[in-house]
Amino acid sequence: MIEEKIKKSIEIIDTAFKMFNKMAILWTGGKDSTLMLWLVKKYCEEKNKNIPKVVFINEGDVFEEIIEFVERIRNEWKLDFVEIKNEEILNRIKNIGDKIYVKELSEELRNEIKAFGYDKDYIIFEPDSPIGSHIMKTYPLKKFIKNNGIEAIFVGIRWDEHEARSNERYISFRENPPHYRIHPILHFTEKDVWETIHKYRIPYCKLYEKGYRSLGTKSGTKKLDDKPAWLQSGEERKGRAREKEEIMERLRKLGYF
Amino acid sequence: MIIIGLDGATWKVIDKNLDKLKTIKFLKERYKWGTIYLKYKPLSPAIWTSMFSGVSPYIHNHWDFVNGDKLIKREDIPVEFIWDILYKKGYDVYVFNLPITIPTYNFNVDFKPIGYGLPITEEECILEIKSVTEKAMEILEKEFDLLIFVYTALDRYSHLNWNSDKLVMFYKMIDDSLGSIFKKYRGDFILISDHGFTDLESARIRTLKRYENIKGEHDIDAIYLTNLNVEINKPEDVFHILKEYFKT
Repeated sequence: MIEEKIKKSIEIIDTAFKMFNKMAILWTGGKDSTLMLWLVKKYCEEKNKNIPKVVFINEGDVFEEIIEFVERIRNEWKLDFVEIKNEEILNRIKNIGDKIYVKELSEELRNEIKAFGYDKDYIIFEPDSPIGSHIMKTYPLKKFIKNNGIEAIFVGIRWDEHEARSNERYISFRENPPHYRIHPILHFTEKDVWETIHKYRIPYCKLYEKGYRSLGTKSGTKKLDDKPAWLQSGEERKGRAREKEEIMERLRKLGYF
Repeated sequence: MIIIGLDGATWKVIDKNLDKLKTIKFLKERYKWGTIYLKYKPLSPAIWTSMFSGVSPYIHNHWDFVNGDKLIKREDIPVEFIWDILYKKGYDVYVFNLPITIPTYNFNVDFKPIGYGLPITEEECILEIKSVTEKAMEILEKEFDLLIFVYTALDRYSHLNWNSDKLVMFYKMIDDSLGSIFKKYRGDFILISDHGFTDLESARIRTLKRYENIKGEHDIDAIYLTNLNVEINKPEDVFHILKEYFKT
């Protein structure tokens, strides 16, 4: 079963290599994008091609364990690796929750914030908020794609991880800046991912062993269970939205809600 | 200047047990104190917001932590707080564990609230006293102009343990912590609560929506105690006192 799925992924990767010249791979250090990276590497080794440049976005709130993992693998796999980040913001803030006054930012960034539709005169630094995620992740990536003339970027999303992703295609066009997204592991389920990782001894970040099931920002990701990720059931991304439910429960206990 | 918030503290408990609460007793005998009788519904987010923005709850309209199923965030509260104003002017301001939102709000401080600022169990409530005090002590080491922080656990503990010896013990734990803070810090201060507390049965006002296991309800008698020569008649006065104090 997973052999079929791997075969499908390799076909997508092959199509992408036939369609585009300048490509990049978005790697978060999480299990999905690591599996995708491993598949592209496997394809490139078989076809004797160079692995496209690997891009890691540092949104300013990364688990130390992810950094360690990414450092180790980039050396072991001899990757052409680049870390991108919004330095203008990271130079200004010390902690999550710090305040950034929009008027003090560069014109380029101010325009980006305006274009996003954000009209307050300050931003609270939270990489998980919509505006935070936009300026810390989307904006540096857009800039990278534009500055390097990237035609297509590999992204390790899956149909089953999020409802909003259920309509995604394997290769889809994005405007601003114009580029294609390639999604070679769309058809993998969470279970498939772990099965493949274990079968082929693909490395993964040790946080998954400690019970983290889906890795986002350090401050925004909670673990729900101490069991390794592959032994857990229920909704995969729940750890990321668990906080609100817990707060509601506490408010109820105190009679407030 | 430091502002120490005691969420839900009332003279009703303090005065009856003053001999056990040595720090508050010491301060009360030397400095100015009074009761703030609230003219609106005693809800924490509304009052703390008014206290530090000078804006009446009828105007900022931020009464609850939750709207529908959405948690209210700082950005949703349409006011400028005293720390926003002072920070822009270059003052060193630190704010943490302030229950204007849940999780409790921090400004310029890295503080992880206990139970998101809603400690419930005995352990969590005691842990909050400890961690809030530790963080305050850490900031007191630095140079600062204004430090604001709140012990929220007193409110949570009062809801669940009103009219019990346990609650007096809890006041005493906070009093001990105040003792260590004032041992280290000798500057200007305001010790203040957002509302008082009373028996659920005889409460003048209903603020709660559910009553299972709840023994105490908010009351309109908030407290203040300060070394400044000021009178606080309503929460908004604190904002104006601070503006005057920093001459802004």
